[in-house]
This record gives sequence, C-alpha cells and structure tokens, in this order.
Amino acid sequence: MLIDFIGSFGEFRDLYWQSMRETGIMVGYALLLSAVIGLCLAVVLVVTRHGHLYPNAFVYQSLNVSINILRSLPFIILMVSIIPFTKAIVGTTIGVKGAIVPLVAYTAPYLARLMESALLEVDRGVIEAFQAMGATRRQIIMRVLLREARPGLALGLTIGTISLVGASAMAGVVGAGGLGDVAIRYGYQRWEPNVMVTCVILLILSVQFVQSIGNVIARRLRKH
Amino acid sequence: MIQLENVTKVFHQGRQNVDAVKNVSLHVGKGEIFGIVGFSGAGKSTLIRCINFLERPTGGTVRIDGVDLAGLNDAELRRTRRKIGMIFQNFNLLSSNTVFENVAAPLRLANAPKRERVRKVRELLDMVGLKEKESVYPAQLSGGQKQRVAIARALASDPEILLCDEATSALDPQTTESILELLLEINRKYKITIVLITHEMHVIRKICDRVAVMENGEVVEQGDVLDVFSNPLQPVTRNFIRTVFDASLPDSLLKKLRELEQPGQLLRISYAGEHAAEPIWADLAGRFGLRPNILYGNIAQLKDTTFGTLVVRVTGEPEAIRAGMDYLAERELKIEVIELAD
Repeated sequence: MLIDFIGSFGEFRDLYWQSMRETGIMVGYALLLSAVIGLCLAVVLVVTRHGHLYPNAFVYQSLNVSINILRSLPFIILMVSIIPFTKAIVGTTIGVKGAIVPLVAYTAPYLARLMESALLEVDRGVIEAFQAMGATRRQIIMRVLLREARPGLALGLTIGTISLVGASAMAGVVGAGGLGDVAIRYGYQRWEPNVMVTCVILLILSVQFVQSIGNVIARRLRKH
Repeated sequence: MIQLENVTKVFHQGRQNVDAVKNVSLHVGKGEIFGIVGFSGAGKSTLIRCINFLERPTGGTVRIDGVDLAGLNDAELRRTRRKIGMIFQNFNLLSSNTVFENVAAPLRLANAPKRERVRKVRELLDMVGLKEKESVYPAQLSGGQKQRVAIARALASDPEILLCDEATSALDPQTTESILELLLEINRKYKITIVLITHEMHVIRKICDRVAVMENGEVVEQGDVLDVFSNPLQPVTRNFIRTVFDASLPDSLLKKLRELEQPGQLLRISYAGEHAAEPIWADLAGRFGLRPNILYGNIAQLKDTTFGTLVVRVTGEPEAIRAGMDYLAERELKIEVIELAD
C-alpha cells in the first residue's frame, strides 16, 4: 500500500508541484493586498473610535457595519455574489486573477478585525504620553500604535494567512487551480484516495509551516 | 508661569453631565513645586490634564507664560506641549523600544540630529542613574527604574514645566522617596516648575512649596505648605494632614483627662522652624506657676522647614493659664484650646 502511495506520488508529482505553485501565488498576492487593506481598515476602525485620535462616529459605524456584512458570507457565496465586481476590477472571473479579488474581499475584512484587536491592545496611556510630548497624530499612529502592536499584528497576519489557504482551496471552482482543486478533482471526483491523502498532508504541512513562522516572528517582536 | 482662571471641565456621559473640575483658579510661579492633593475622584487628574490641554477645559482660561492655550492652533499647541514634560502613574513607556529609544522619543519627534540625540540621552540617563540600562527593554526594569526612564524622557525636550500625574502612586515607599529626591534635584538643578497631583500628603510634605486641596472638583484650600499644615481650614485638609501625623489623643486618655480634678486646660501647640530652641516650659513654670504636662509630641520635616505639634495639659489657676497662653502666642506659637466634650 505504501509502495502504491509512493508510486502515485511519482505519477502525480508535476501535478502537486503545479498546484502548490498555484496555491502559493493565490495566497501570496491575496495576502499582500489583504494585509495592506486590512491594516488600513484596522487603523481607521481604531482611531475613529470615541475619544481616540480622530473620533468620527459616522466613519466608524459605516466601516464597522460594512466589515460585518462581508464577514457574514461564507467564501464560496461571497465569491459568486461579487462576480460583477470581480469582472469590473480584473476583467475576468476565472483563473488565478479571478480568484484573487474574492480572496481579498474575504480576507481583508477578517484581517482588519484581527488587527483592530491588536491595535486596541496598545496602552492608551502611552498614546497620551506622546500627545503630551507634542507628537502629531500621524507620528502617534506610526511610532506608537503600529509599533507597539507589532507582535499582535504578526499573529493576526498568521491566522489570516491560514484562513486564506483554506479559502484558496475553494477557488478551484473558478478554475484557479491549487491544492484544493486537485483534491476535489482527482481525489474526490476521480476517486484517487492517494491524491486526496497527499493533498491533505501538503495542506497540513503548509499550515503548520505558516503558523510556526508567525509564532517565531511574534516572539521576536515581543519584548516582554 | 502657569495661570488657571476659573477652569471648568464638564464631561458628557450619555445624558448626564459630570462636573469633573469646577471653577478652579491657580497660579504657579516659576521654579515652584506645586502640589495638588485630593482623594480619588476629586478631579485632580482632569485638572492636571487641563494644564497641557490633554483635556480641553469647557470653561475658563489656561495661560502658560501668559499665552492662552485656547487661542493656539494644533501646531502651536504641540510646540507649547514640548515645553511641558509629563510623567504618569503607569510610566507609559513604549514596551517595544529600549530605554535609550524611549528617552530619545521626544528628540526624534522634533527631528533632532542623531549626534545631539545620543549626547542628550546619555546625559539624561546618567542624571537619573540608569547609564548602564540604555539597551534594556522596559519590561526588564523595576517600577522605580521605569519612572526614572519616564522622567529622563520628559526632560529630553528641555521643558520649563514638568507635570507629574500620581508619579509615585504605583511605587513602594522607599522607591517613592528616591523618586521624590530626584524630582527635587531636577527642580533645583534645571529650575523646572513642577506641578504634581497625588493622594499622598506625604509627597506634598516632602517636596512641595505650595499646595492646593481638591474635593469634588473644587479647590477648597490653597497656600504655602507650612501655612496649610499649621492652619488647615477645611475638614478634608485636616483629614489629609492626619494621614501624615495624627495629633488626636486616644479615647482612653481623653476619658482619664475628663476625670481629673485639678483646674487645667488642654492645649495643642504647633510651631514651625526654629522655635524649638527656647526654654518655654521652664518659663511657664517659673514665671506663671503653671505645670505643663506633655501628652503628645511630633516633629515633621517639611520641604525646607520643620513643623512640630504638641498636645499639652497645663494645670494652674485660670488667670495664670490665660497669661501663659499669651506668653506662648507672643513667641509665634500657634495655640489651640482642646475642649474635652463628654
């Protein structure tokens, strides 16, 4: 059975390699965009709160509700429901390009929430101390908020990446390929249990890898 | 240096208005150490934040060096704040920065050149006694050391005023002493005006020149520390003074005194400064035929004078007692008759 398994691995090696690359590309691009958008949203969510640097109930509430709406949808539904939007942005709804837009729409709000809670952990007293020093609000965001929250931001990014790996498995539906797609098409539809098992193992390994890296980075950043 | 006129701060909490500070007027002179004492919730934290506009007063004016802060735009206000250092109960250091970086923060905000930053930070760390700790993170420091870093940071922009928000309240008594010594040294060396708030009368006694007592958002009493200590007018002030030295007699003793037959009078005598040297008891006995019996005595060190309290029972004829009291009053001793109510 083991020999059988190894044999199948050799047979499908190029397929695995190809699908890992596709997953990597999808996750990589989507992560980069989501992290940038998520962080910006998180900062806005924090500083527009009552009594913070730029208190603005309207902006805060609108953003809060919008994020909740996006977060209510399971990825597969979000992906099909924003098809017109995806088409408008990248000109196609299929392939890796077509998958990245819904992946970002799914991950950015999630990251925004995770990063928001990391930013809220920053001691208000420290912000006050910098206000008393005559720091501008921009300086406070850059040098106090973002800097003090780095360990929490790194952990949030790790969790977001893992959820992105999970969501990318469903992007196969729009022909973006990836490990999840292989698992479904070969493992499930063509009934190749060896392919299914290999895909599962590869997914587990990549999640473990991402989490370990995230933990190491967060630990390095934390000075207490 | 600092002039507060009728400063008021109202917070809106839902539909309720909370008057945190009511009509406070204070003047703090250059180079002075001014203490504001009050129990928690008295409004002192809000008041000290009105001085650098961390809280914008809802009424009244705040002037620093004659300039009304309400008339400044954001950039001008920031520039003024750089001249007002502040330290806090919880130190409020950046946990992700080293001691050096923390102290350098105000200099970086002002874009000081690197060489200047290094020189200034080293000098300040040396002054607060943490020269060896410059590359350590705050989590590895004790509370007292963290407050020293915070003090060095507050001084980095060469402020003329230092605001201390319960700066010693999170520290143990010994560390409190050393931080107070440091504040005193800073005040003398750099001629920095210090405004501090505290709930510990001990802090006022140790380093302040003048004191204001706050209760329910109002300043109920203010003056030179010695005057307030020797002649407290408000009940809350007396309560505070009792926390540093309690000149009330125990009940059992009062009961015994009430049962005494001989005519006499119970007196509380307080004195400041050098009067301790005069042989007043011998005079009371020799010149007036009185017999003083000292029941309680305390001498306290204020910032730069001593302040003593005695509770004495003098026995003798009522006439002689009155003459004796006049004699004591002439010596600038403060005499208070304690009535022995049943």
